[in-house]
Amino acid sequence: MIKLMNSEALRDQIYAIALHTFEIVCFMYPLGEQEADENGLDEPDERVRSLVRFTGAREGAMIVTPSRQLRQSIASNMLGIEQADEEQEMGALKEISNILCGNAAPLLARNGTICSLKPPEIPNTEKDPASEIDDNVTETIRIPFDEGWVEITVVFTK
Amino acid sequence: MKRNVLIVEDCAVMQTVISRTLEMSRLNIGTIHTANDGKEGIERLSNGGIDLVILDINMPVMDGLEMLEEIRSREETRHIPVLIVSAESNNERVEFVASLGSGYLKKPFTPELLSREIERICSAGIGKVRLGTN
Repeated sequence: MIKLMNSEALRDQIYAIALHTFEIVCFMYPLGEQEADENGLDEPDERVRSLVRFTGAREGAMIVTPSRQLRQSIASNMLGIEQADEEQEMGALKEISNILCGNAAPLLARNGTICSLKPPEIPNTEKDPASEIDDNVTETIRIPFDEGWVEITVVFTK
Repeated sequence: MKRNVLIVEDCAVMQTVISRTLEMSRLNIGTIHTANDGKEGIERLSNGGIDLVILDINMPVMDGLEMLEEIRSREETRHIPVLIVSAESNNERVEFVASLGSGYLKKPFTPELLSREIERICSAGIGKVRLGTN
C-alpha cells in the first residue's frame, strides 16, 4: 500500500500546484511573507467559496476561498477584461478550483486507485464541508496576493 | 486553409479563454463555435463544417469521453481531430484518448502549449497521434 505523504509534504505540493496554476491561468504571482505581513491583506471571503468533491481512492473535497478583491481579479485576469460581473467571477472561481483539485488529486491516489472529481460548485451554505466526512484529514494552505489571501483546504478520508 | 473550431466546455469563462487564445495564436483559425456539453456538441457537429474539436471531460448531460467515442463511431465525424483539455489526468484516461486518435492537454496550459498540441494532432492525422511529452 502506498502511504500518503506527510502533512507538510502534502501542503508543500498543493502550494506548488497553486502557485503554478495562478501564474499560468491568472498571471498572478504571490507576495513574499514580509510584504504580506506589512500590507494587512484582505482575508478570504467565507461567504463565497468553491467546492470540488472527489471520490475513489479517498472521499473528500477541496475548498477554495479567495478574498473579495482576489475573486474579482481571478475572473478579470482570466478573461482579460477590466471588470468581471458576478457570473464571470463564480465561473472563474469554479474553473480555478477544478484545475487545482484536478492537479492535486493524484497526490491522494493509493493502491493504483485514483480520485475522480465531481463538477465544482459554489455552496450557498456556511456548513463546513469537513463536517460531512467522518475520520477526516484536513490540510490548509494560504497564499498572499496583492488583492488579498486565498485559502485552499483539502479534506479527505484517512 | 482556415480551421473552424468547436469548443465543447460547460464553463463559459473557459470557452472565452480558449477562444481568445485561439484568436491570438498564429494558428489559421476560422469561425469558433461553442457548445455547453457533449450532446450539444454532437448536434453542432452534425451540421458539418467543423475542422477541429476542443473538448472538456467533466460536463453534464454527455461528458467529453462519451462525446469522443460518439465522434469516432460516426462516419461523417470520425476524421475530425479532437483535443481533450482537462484538469484531471491519469495514464489510463490519456491512453484511452490516444487510442481514439486524439490529443490530451492537461490544464493549466499556456497559449504556446495549446497551439503546439493543436498543430501536432492536426498534422499527425487520426489514429497516428502519439502521447505528448508534456
